[in-house]
Amino acid sequence: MNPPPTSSSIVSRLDALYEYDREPVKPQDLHGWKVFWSTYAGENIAGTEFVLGPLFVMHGATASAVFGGLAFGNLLAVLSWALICAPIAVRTRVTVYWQIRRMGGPWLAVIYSSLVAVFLCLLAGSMVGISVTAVSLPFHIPNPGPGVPIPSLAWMGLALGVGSIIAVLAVLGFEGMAIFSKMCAPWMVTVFFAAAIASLPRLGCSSIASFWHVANERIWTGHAAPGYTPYTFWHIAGFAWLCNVTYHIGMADMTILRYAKKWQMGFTSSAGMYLGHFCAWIASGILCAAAVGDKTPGPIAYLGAGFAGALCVVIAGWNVASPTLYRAGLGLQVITAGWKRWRVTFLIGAVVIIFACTPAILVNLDRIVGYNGLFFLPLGACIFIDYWIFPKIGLRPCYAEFARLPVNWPAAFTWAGALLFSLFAYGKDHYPFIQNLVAGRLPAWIDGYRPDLFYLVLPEWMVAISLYIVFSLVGQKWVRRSDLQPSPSPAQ
Amino acid sequence: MKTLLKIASFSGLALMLGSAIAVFYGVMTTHVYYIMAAVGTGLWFASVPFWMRHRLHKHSGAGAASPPETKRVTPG
Repeated sequence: MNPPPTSSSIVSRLDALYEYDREPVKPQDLHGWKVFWSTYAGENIAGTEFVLGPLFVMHGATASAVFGGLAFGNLLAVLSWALICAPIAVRTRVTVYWQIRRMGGPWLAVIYSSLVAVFLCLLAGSMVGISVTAVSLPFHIPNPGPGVPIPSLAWMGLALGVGSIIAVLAVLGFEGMAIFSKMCAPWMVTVFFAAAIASLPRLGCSSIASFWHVANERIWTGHAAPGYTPYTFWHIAGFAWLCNVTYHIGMADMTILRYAKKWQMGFTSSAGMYLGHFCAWIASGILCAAAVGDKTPGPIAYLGAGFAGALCVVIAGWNVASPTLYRAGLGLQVITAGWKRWRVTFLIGAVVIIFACTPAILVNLDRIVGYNGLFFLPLGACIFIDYWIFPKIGLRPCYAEFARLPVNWPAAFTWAGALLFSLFAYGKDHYPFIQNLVAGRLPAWIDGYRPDLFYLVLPEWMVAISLYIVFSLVGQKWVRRSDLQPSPSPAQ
Repeated sequence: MKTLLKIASFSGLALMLGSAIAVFYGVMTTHVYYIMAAVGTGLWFASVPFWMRHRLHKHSGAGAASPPETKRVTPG
């Protein structure tokens, strides 16, 4: 049998980092509906909303595809929160990190935590880039246009300045910053609405009756801009579902919803989805069309609400970038032995500034968000099956904890296998190296299956649950139960 | 006092939204709307820390017992 994994220093550091989150939440710490409505309503409007809404315009979606797709995709997201994530969160009352550790072993938790940190760096980079598009306005520094691989030196200087300030704030006072960002939330929602309403006359819409006509003729016209693939209803619905998949099907919001008194509180995610991922995306799409196809966040927000709009972009980028840096710093601190928090955060800040100076990240933000969702989805599927199905088919849940395994290989192989499935399903039609590899060798039924990245949530989830059941049946039968001693519960 | 501060905060938001609606119906110029939006922003940020900070400290999000989680970081 393998030795207890806590002897490893990296694992110990990660455990120490999450020490406070290890125990199930006590009944007196539970929260009611109001807290969850405000949490979700306030935290799903960020700088990225200024980028994602315009992308639907550039990809030539029609108005009915945008409205219908967002309504349907966000409904799927809300149901995923309420029916998949929340029930397990309120029954286990532990963080996703701890649930992964119990199910997949401490090393899998370290890998998960580190990869989350890497994605957070990308996200923070995009946020810094978004803020700089507004900060550049008073200095008359042009923002990088479409197809420009590297911004001007002056723009990069601004990114360095903004990124440095954000990194300093992330080091100095996380708590105050989090409170400030919550104070900004109602104001940001209002700016989005006001900017969109005030921009409509520029598009020839001056009455509610003419909105739908203008929406079809001037905003979501159905014609993709050069270099953009056309988006349909299913692309939009798929993206709305996939956008936060890490948090619902991927189970990351167990960390929040474990404080809920009832699983039904998962439905409060609808506040975030329909304010942030419906209204705000539609509003920023209107702003993009009013700016004649300019999709740079700073200029379009300035056009929509003047100084308030530009300030909204700066704050919307900054108040997500700073906590993102903080979280990424926490995640990576465990693998940078002996480094002070400020040193790790500044190192990450440097990486984030490099990402901010890469315009391709903003241009492809929807794809990057999609890859992120698909990357972390399989572990959420494993948690789901581990909790609900394993006891019913005679398999032991939280097997790594029970058997004191550093890595529960069925979970690790499921993660890799489900990811490879998606990479192959999408890549065989989009990545030249995979296309060359499989050209003429695939059976017709596989060759005919051509999903977009945004269509892969359900297939990948089903592949993940199938693999995890099969691998666990094999894996758990290889070990004689009589040899195993249950380890102490994490609460002890 | 707190009620007055709340009224000031929400008046700021109402000013922004109301002037945007006025632009929509053609009864206000964009330039005046920009000024109104800036004034509304000023009202909000000048008043909101005095009544919302206390409330947020009291229960800072769902993750009150978990400092690193006081702000969710979502990609959209």
